[in-house]
Amino acid sequence: MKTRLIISSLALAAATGAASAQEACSTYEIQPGDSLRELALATYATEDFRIIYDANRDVIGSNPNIIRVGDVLTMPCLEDVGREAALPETEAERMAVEMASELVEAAEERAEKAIAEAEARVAEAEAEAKKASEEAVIAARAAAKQELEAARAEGAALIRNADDGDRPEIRDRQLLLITGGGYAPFTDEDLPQRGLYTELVETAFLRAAPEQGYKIQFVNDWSSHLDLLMPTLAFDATFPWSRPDCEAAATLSETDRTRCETYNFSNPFYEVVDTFFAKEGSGYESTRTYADFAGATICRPEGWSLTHMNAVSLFEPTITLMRPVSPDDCFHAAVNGEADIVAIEAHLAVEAMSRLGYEHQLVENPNLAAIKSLNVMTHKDNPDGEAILETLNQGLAIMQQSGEWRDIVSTALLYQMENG
Amino acid sequence: MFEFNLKKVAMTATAATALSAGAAAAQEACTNYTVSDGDTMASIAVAAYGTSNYQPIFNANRNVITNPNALSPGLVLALPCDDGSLPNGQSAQEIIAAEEQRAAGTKRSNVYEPPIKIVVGGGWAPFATEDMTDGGMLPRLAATALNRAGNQRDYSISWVDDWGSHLSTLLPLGAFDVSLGWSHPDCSDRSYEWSDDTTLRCTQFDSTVSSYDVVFGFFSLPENDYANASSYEDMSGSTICRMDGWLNYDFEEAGLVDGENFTRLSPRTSQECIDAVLTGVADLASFEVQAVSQTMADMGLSSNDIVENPFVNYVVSYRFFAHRSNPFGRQYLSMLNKGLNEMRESGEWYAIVSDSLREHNENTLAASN
Repeated sequence: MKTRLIISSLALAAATGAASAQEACSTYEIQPGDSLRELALATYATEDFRIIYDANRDVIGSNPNIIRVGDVLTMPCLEDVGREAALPETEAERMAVEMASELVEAAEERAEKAIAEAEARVAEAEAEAKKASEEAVIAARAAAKQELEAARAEGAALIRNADDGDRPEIRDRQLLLITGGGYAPFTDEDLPQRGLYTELVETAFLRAAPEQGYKIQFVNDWSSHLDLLMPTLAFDATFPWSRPDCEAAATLSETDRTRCETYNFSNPFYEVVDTFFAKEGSGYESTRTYADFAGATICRPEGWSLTHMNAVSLFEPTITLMRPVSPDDCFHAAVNGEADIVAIEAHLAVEAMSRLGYEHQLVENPNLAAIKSLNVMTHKDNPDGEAILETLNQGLAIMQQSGEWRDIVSTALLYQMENG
Repeated sequence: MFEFNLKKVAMTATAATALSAGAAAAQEACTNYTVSDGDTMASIAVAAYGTSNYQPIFNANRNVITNPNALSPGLVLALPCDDGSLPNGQSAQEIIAAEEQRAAGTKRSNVYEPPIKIVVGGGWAPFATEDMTDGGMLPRLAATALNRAGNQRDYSISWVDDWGSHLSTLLPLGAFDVSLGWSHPDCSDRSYEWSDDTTLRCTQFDSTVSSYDVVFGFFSLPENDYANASSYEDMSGSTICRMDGWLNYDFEEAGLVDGENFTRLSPRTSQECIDAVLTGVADLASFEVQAVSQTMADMGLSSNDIVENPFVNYVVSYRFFAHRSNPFGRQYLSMLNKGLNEMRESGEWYAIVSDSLREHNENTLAASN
């Protein structure tokens, strides 16, 4: 009796190919073996089953994992689900979907065959040992399932790849980006164009996706970007942040590893030199080795990455870290003697020291510096994140090719030179 | 930043006895020499090499000499051999070859990065001239620095002889990234009124660490009133000759203003300056000790005819400049700094410097024969 049950459920699984008449903008009767995910894949070329579930909540009920054979589902029309871009539009995509469904079909055929063989073996086994046959059936079923899954994954990958090389889709909704102030010349609301980095991001959108709606908001508490704002997924992207060497995860600090695991990064829109400033005559401004910083108090504003310092073993307790919110506080601390060294980006330092009148007191160490990239980050859980980065990367490439990138940066640096 | 403070050059006991130089007799090329009371850079150079040009000794001992006018007795100086190598050291060629080989072993990045566009003026041997290996000392140092200390950067070197255009036009417009061979005064000192040139250098450009330090000396007839002036202030009222286009900011810093409390003659050539001293038109000639020594040799003069003031000199650091509006300026300077620092540690900096000077000497010798 038990054997029979297993066989019949296998038969159901083998019949998954039956749900092949699904069409958008029609109704569909659930067949044995159907799942919403498969229906979504077959009908809309996406695994996102919510398209169907949302339109049929009254039929399906609260659990999308349980659907009943014979229930009739309303399959939403394409234009209503706003997933047109996911449907075969280009020849490449159409082919990818076709190939994907062929792969699934082939796998299903193989699965059917495997099951038939298993059934035959089961019949033979019935005469011998019940237990052995049961195991064979289970194994066959597992193998069939695996094959199905692999085929689907392959299909999905093909569909995704078909997308590549095309312009990322323009999203109807407005994107929300955040940045922060006090980071001259890159981002500050008081600067022309709200800073050169802000201008680069805006121009990248303009060049790559002129119809894309977006808004850039300033939240000056940098650390809140990562602690609070980005994880809510209420914001699509934040900038500018340096990208740790994510490929060398083993050498990274906990914070940097988390950043790599949580965020995706755009290409670098700008590269900066991270420097060390100290009082003239202190020795810290002229040493050639990081080892001479041992025992010093190093001030670096809160939220600024410690990657380049960790890389040269400048961490507590070798040094004492001071992390005020404002970069200005670091310069004050160094002049007052509360801190020995300010670890800071060079352009910002020039602006801040001239504004605060510390030019003659603090000196840059010319021997020790790290070059770092500044990127836009999106949260990995943001479904649009990678498309946003792709758009920005395209815009950046266009700007670099046309010379606009250099114009924007030079003009901003010139402004800083003349007004700093 | 080089911490040479003119105000520290006061008359001290050791400085005063420097007049009776020549006491130490055992100076020999290719040995280490311990400084005795009364030695000066010039006296050691004359004893060991028969020339007052002590720049090679300064180069070889750059890490221990801060002020070439104040040698402390007991200091051990390496007196370079004739080919420029250090006593018991490898030859310049050996060091350079070893470093080249080491650098060749590093893996190249597969990311394309545009070549750094370097500009330099020619006809300035041994520092920059198309006639010398790799364009002379400064282009050689810059090019090497871009391939040391983890740098692996392509570059181009262009020759534009109009130096003034580098700072006024070529770098600000972004035609080139880096110009070689510039110096600037202490830009944090605003206690005097900056000239336009100082303002330009200090507010529009960022610079590297020093790539090479030259000593500017003051030279006069032995009996001249200013032959033993002990400071720039003491030279107030004098006429000083320094060629046209050469720096003026050491006078500026010291409060010497042309036409007010001193007169600067600015002829075109170094011979004209030495001539002016010989004929009494100028009290002092002031430029690189190496160039002075060369000019005097060309004119058949010895270090008895024209003497160097033992108390006052000025060390000028030749740096590489980038304009502040250059998006990559700071990045490139930081790369160059890393390279130059590594080269100082490895000995390659000195090898390239001494090799360039050796080549230059051979060229001038060949030209005069």
